[in-house]
Amino acid sequence: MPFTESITVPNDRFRSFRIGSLAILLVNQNDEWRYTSWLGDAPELPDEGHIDDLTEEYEWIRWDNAEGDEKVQLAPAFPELPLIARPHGIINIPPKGSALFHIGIPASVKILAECAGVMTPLASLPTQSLSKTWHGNQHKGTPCYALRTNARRRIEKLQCYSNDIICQVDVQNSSDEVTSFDRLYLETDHLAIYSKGEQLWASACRIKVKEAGEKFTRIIFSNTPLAPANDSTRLVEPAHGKTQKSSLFNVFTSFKDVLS
Amino acid sequence: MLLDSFLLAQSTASADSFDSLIQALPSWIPDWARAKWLVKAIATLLILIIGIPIIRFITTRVAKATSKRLNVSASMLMTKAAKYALYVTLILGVLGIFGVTPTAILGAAGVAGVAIGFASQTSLSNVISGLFLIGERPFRIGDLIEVNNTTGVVDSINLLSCHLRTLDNKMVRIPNETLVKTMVTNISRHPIRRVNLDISVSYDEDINTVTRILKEEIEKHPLALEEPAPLIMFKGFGDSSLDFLVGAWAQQSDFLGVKNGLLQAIKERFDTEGIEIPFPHITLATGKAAATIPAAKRGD
Repeated sequence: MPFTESITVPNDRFRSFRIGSLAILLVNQNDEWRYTSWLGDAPELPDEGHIDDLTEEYEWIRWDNAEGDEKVQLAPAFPELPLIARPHGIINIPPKGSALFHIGIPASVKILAECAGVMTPLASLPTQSLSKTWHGNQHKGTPCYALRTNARRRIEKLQCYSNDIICQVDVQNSSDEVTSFDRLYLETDHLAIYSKGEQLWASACRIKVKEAGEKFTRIIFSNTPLAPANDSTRLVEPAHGKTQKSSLFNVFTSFKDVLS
Repeated sequence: MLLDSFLLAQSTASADSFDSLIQALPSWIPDWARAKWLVKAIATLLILIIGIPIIRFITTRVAKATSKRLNVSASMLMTKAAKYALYVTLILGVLGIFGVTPTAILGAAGVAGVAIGFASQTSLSNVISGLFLIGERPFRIGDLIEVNNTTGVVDSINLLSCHLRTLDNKMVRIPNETLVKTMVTNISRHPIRRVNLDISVSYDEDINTVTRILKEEIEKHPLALEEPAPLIMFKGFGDSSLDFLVGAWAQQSDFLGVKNGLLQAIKERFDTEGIEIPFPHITLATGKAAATIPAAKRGD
């Protein structure tokens, strides 16, 4: 993963990056940052070079910068929309029971570049194509991304790529009834991103179901991931600041009523 | 006759008060500046200069106050009502300078009102319909609606009519009465919408294969929602085709993107898989084949 400290791209030079199926070409030219990206098929590009080496015409997205602005940083980020994760099949959690799930979230790449001396976010680009889904009913709801890989009980079974952020979710059934877990709606705004080795991790979260079918479910965010990543390094702070607790609307909402 | 005498009496009373006002002016003001018409003109100008900004200020405050508590349409209506009421008051004030009192105007309006009432039944109906629309709220400003085969975005809801901006940027004025009487379809009320596509394939094709391909293409489209689940229905046997209904859900903002994208993706996939999309064939016959068939003679 090229998520590193800032690097320098001097004037009239370019750098290219490849993260998962995402390819990025970034140029510093004429007091401008110019970048273009491809998801999937991308042209073969050297890692860095002089702009005269770029023979093809690209469709650039341009940002004004000042003379002497050279710093660039790529940082991991969560996708822009909340996420829907599913287990391999419906899992029933008995009263007072709990179940730990591991979820692989495809990271986005945030491009930060120096503009008049200030590191400015230029873009947040997904490393995988994500398909949209809907959390709610036909009258109201929230657009989300559907995760292509299933939430798994054991981390070894999680189909995970190096550009995925692993999030551990501990579901605790504090109610006196069985809770069926068929889908998880996850807002990532309060999650921090950590790294351990080549792998990215998110803050662990615990969901407490106090009453079966309750409208609001309590979610508690941990300061670190759980083992084996509890000694990882924090890379990115939560987008909406640090919080310990949050109420998620209908975390376990079923879509049975949608088509009825 | 009675009304004329009434207006004359009111006008005389107002003129008397104006005369006393002119006499009360300071002595240093020259005689030429004491001309009644000049004083009246200055007073009118002063009322307009002070009154119009005050009206604008008040209507702005009303708009701000109502926009917090009411929806856009009701807020707009309240603001307009306040604006009209204030301007009527201002005009009455100006007319008062020239000796026309509100009582006189209302008296005249009472007589004229009966005649105007008969003539303005349609307008009144539109006003009342407008109030029903505000109360019932079948649509709001910014909604995409369809009325009598006209589709457009609601630009404004007024006392007499609603203005639609069609998708090709024409303005259509629809009387409120029409909107109450006819069927109105609000296309953008709900956040998600189903994209319905009619797909036909040749009778030679396998129904299960076609269904699988259609499902895969919806799953592949990044903007087509996974949930609610898409609908793929075998509709039946057409004249020369097997007919399917494909329904994929999309957010309102993605509707056109999903529709165009899916149609293109399905066509390309059918081409790759060798699935035939039938189309009507017309055979042109010329020469002998096109000659009229002779009718058989009786007894033949």
